[in-house]
Amino acid sequence: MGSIVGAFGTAHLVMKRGTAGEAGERVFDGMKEIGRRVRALSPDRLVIISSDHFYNYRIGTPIAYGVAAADSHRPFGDMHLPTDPFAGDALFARGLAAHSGAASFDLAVLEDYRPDHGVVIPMLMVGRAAGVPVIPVITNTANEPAPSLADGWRLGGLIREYVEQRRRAEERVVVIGTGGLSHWLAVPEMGRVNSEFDLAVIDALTQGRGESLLGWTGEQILAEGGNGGLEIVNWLMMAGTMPGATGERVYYEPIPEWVTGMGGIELFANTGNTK
Amino acid sequence: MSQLQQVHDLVHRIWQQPALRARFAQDPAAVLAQEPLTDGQRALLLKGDFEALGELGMHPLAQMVYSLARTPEMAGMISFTDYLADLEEAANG
Repeated sequence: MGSIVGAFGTAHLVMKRGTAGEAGERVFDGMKEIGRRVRALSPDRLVIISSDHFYNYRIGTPIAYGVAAADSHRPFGDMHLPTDPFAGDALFARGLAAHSGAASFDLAVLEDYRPDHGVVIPMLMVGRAAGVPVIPVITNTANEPAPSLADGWRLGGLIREYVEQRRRAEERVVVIGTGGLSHWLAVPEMGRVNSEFDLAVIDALTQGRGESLLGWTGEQILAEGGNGGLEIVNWLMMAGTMPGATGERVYYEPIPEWVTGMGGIELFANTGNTK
Repeated sequence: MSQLQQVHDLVHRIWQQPALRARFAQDPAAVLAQEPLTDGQRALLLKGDFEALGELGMHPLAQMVYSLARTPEMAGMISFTDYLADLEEAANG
């Protein structure tokens, strides 16, 4: 059986360098540190969980969760990111979708998906040279209602099951949940950052209490974390791959200049009450 | 397709079609003139700030990506260019 050997949460965006002073540099250092830690785990596959940012889906696309099935991903190229293809694993993706479907969880297979910054920046943190195949799992947080934390957590469990039951022996998988934390985009509250919300998420996950967040409703998240805060479903899915595991904060900075609470964590395998 | 769907469809196509995006960057009024929109919608899209886009009823996510196409300052702010070499050096040695 394969195994999840590490799980991380991280912001998936930074804004123009120098516009957030030392705090911005600490965030970037934190991202580099997460990349270093992922590489140290020698993964064979990376599952990167992100939202789509309207570069693939349309408003109203009736897909809550999808997985990009390709052996080579061609980035969209937003944020002036490189568009060089990077490795994927179509068989892994299709197998995961089938495994989820067998458990009555609808995980759509995405053909010709072009990853945006939400997948590409975390991939770059780990490094293109490493060449580790990436399986993008895409949430649609633009949907109304947005994907629930409970469903995200459940899909995390299915990812774990799939790796442990269906993948080859000794395969090492690292999962990275991306996005968040609190931010309000293109709404009157834009610019607000809610550290209380951000730290509640970080503390619950690093203390192995992810399940305590599953009762949060979309309305609560919108009120306390903003419409961008809905991306915490990506972190909950990540934590759901390693339920009960404890970890540590790698970085956190509330950055009003970037209108976002920027955070990164690592969860350690075989810690806490890992099931 | 509803009027709002027309607006969202245009925003989507601007990002899906590089040639359209280039034309839009050069002359947004000319691109908008060819779209099945009302004069009021065109005026709000040309104004292009979040208040105007919100008045259109545009989804916040669509507002963000429209702003990236409409406002060079926004595209310059939300850019990874200054970090790439540094990150690649850290990641790839």
